[in-house]
Amino acid sequence: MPNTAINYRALIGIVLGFTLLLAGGYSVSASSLTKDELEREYRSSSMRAVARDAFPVLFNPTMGRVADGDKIIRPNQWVIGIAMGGEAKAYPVAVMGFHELINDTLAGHPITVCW
Amino acid sequence: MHSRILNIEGKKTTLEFGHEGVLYRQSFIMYDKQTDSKWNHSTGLAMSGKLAGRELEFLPSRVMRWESWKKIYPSTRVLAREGRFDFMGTYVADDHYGALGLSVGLGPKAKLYPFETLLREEVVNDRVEPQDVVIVIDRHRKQAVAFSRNVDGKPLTFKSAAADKEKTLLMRDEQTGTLWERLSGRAVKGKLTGREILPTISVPWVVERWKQIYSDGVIYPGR
Repeated sequence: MPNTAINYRALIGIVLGFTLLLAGGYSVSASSLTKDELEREYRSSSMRAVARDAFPVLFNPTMGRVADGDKIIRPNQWVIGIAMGGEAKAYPVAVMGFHELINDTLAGHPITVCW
Repeated sequence: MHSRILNIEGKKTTLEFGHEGVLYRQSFIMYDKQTDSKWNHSTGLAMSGKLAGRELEFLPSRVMRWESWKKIYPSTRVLAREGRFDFMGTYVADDHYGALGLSVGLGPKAKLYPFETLLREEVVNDRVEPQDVVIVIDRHRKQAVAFSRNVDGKPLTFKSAAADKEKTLLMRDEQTGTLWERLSGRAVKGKLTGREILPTISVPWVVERWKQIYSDGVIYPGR
């Protein structure tokens, strides 16, 4: 595999430029809200949909090789892919629709994959 | 996709996330097992609890067709499980849900590039604050990806180039004449051979759905 440079510093730079978008067309700058305001906004606009961990969250799931993927994933199916630090991982969108959240590592770095 | 490492009170901490089961403005909330703070998964911002106001670092994942991903990364590992859905929530899945576009960046500065426009232009050099980006499309597989087009601190400008014998899609930068693979972002011929441009955050969406969520969002080529 070609060497894929990790550039976490650049990534942090990207993130710093972002402001928060809240679904439903309501947007607000994350940095403009105090901790208390965030708490209030969260409490006023969130609702319980299912029990905690009703969606089966995965921790460091067993990952296959390309040949394993080929048995299950059609060539034109979407995958969420990440390549950094000389490692690449792919998570089929169809699987993410069920598990929604994965705690994994990439090249030794802990990551979360959500959909 | 986010990093799970966060500096908490001077200590580098690895967080583990669970699914809170709560929806906040149509986006699911996750909690961390270390502090029980509540996080918006789509923004990476903690909204409640000890870490409220803290943000996770975004990682530049790409949504691509399996056949293309494995060609670029033949030693990729893959979560080889049976899937139950081909559609989830606000994002896409396939064009039978409507015309697709590529959403680049996050928050109010995110911009949508309809595939229809990309098909006409093939390679788009643009700016999505705070970055100079290039958006490319693969017309045969109906997929698009976005990269930061800064190399050594300066933006390159790309133009489409004829595919090679293996039908790998290519582009050329105007500054050095180097040939680059469009979907991998790797320089393959010319002065910058061996270099890579880095993917930036992008997700394919159904255009109509994106318009509902990003009601003030800009759709390329609009300003």
